[in-house]
Amino acid sequence: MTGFILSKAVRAFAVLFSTALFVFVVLRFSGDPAERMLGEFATPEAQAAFRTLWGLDKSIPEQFLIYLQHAIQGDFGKSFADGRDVFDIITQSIPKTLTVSVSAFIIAILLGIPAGIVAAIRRDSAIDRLVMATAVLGHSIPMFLVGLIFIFIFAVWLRVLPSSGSSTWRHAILPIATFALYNAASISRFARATLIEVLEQPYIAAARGDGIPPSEIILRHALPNAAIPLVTMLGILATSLLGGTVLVETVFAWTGIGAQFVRAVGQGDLNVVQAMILVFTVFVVMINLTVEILYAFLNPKIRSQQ
Amino acid sequence: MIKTDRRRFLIGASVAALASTTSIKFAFAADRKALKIGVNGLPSSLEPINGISNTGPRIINQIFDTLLRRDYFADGAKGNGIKLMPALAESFERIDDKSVRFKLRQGVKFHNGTEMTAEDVAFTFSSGRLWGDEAIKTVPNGRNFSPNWDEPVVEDKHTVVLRTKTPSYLIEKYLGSWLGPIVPKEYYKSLGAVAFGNKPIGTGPYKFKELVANDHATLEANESYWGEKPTASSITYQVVAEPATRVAGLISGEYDIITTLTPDDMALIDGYDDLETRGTLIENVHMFTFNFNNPAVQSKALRRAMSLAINRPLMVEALWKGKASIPNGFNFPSYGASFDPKRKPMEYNVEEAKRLVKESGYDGKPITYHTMGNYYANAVPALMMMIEMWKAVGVNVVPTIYAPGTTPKDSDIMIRNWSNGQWLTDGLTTMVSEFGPGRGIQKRWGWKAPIEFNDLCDKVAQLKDGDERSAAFNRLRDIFEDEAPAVLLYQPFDVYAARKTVQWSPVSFETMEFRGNLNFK
Repeated sequence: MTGFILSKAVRAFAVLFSTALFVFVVLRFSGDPAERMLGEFATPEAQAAFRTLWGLDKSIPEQFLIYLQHAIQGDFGKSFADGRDVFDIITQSIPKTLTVSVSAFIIAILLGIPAGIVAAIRRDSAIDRLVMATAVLGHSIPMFLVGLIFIFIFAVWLRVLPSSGSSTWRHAILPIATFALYNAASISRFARATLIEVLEQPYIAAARGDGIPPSEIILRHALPNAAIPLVTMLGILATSLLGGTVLVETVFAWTGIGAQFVRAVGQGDLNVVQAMILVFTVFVVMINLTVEILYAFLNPKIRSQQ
Repeated sequence: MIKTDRRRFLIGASVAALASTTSIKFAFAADRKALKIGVNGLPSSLEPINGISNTGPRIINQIFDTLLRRDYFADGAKGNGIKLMPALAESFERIDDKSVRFKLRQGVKFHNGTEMTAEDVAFTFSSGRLWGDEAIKTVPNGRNFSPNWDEPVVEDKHTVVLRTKTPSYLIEKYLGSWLGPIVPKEYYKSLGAVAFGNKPIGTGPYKFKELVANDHATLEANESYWGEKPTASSITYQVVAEPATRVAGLISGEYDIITTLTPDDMALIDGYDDLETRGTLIENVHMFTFNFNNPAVQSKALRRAMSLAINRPLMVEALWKGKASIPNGFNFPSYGASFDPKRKPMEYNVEEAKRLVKESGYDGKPITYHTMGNYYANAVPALMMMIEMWKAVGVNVVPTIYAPGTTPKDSDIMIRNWSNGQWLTDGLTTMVSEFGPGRGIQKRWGWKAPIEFNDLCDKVAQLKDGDERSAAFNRLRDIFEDEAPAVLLYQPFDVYAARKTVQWSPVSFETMEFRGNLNFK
């Protein structure tokens, strides 16, 4: 197991390094941050002073080496926009994003998996059709629009919840509901499809033939076999917990890392953008690692191969 | 039966006496309401110059005062007045064509309790803070927005002389513009410009409380303000980037005012009994301009043809519901004495445009037009309309729409859209300040302006208002229209919406004014 984790860690480091390099170079070619930050009115002298101040007048390899040297020590520099420490900006905005995304993810799992199971067991029934119609609707309406619909119903029409901001727990309800609905729709559809596939396997037919009660067939035979594809799918969804809330954050003026990322991109705040992309990458790598470790626990065959 | 005794009577009398001295204040404080504004964005810095943007001045204007203040409502003006009133300066006298002496109001305190003196004013307009080689590193636009400053001279604690190296009769107007907020010398120097921008202190009616980047900024009433007392207990600027959510927040009662809407939003909001939209023409002009380093647009005849082909009234009707305004050349009422009310409108002449296209020898190759999406309101639909108009006169323009956060290379640009805030109440902005000698359009974008144009720019910068200056401005406008270094489109219409219980009016510049302009019913 130690060797398995080590090999994954080496691969993760390679992914991080190549991402950092790629992002760094691409951002340097995406336009002049001096112009974006200082605006159209800035004189060439002011732009030159800005480039010198932030080391943008050095060659790209030189800039990258300096960046790497500092990044290894946890220093991601300061925001071009307001001089704040990039590390502080990120650590302050991540909890806000995770408040919405993790809560929504848990709700989505709690709603999506049981709904998918019920739909699979009662296949082609009215309940199945109702669950799937809701799921298709939830998945196909853009999150942006769902957010606006929720705002219209709960903030404008019923006036029971705030439409925007992030100062109280009540402000979190609509963003969580929007993100949860979208994810629950995906989870329920996938859970249903996976379970139906498992329920059609010969060993399930054999179990039925042996007179095992349906509830036991589902719990002891079907669900454990459906777990691996489901975990894979949840892993894919989990990678969007940090960066996938951009739309929700924009609609509800919820200042998480997604909203900060949009601002930083718009302003050409390179230090913030490259650090955030690195954080997103670390997050995705960690989720993938967790999923692979979970495989090993869920499937004895994979465990024994390692 | 009501019982009383001497002790109770004395306590009662004391309370009554105390109440009689403080009741007004208590009642005043109790009547005041916290004002909540849903805004499209926040500035990164509240350092007065670094915060200049379409989001910064509406906050900075509440924290800071200027020596002279533009009174947008003077003499019955409806938010577009241009009269300058004494503010931190009690009086001022012009010494000569390069200097003005200011007598400061005494006893004015910054929000940290220190007294505002001539040293603070001198520091505000010094080379060290605003326009010198060192200042440019932390206040990059200070020099660009400045006249040709010389170092200020402090005569005594409350008297200061502000000077320019070359003649300028516009010093007073600069002080009433976004260049003018007075900063506290010692506090500013102890923090530096960048940190000051995160924790600003001024003398204004509202004190800085909090700035959470990209989320909200909160100010609270300055109880010891020297002028008319602030009428809100606090002001919160909440970022709601999505316009539909801003509108929802107003309808649901979360915000008292929302900013940055378009005429399309007006009908919906005005349909509610308790809400209304309040719009105003703003001192800004949408335009497109050329990269003269690119051979494709070097022909004056072609540029002139592209201007003549545009049906501006149709665009204003279709895109702005008739509420934007078409200026008669580079000529706006906010210019005061340098505005010419008799100037002829910009021409729309398809036949002449066709003739000029032929004369230019244009070979039909596509000309690209860059726009950063709808960064300027209605930019993309405006471009789509113009493409059809240009097609009608034989010019083939293709749109290049790029994303926010990216900046195309200068060499890739042929035409790009632009807007210019007319931030000085004088014709100097922006025909001289952006198109004049040594400025961006000539220096960076390669416009080889006629010598006469550049000479006239120098002249209007130094002349006193009068017939000679007005004539010089009109000649500059003629040359501008003939050369077409840019083509002006219209003055945009800015839309706010508010609860009817909030008595407040928008002003004609990209800021919000609450001095004498905010009450709650």
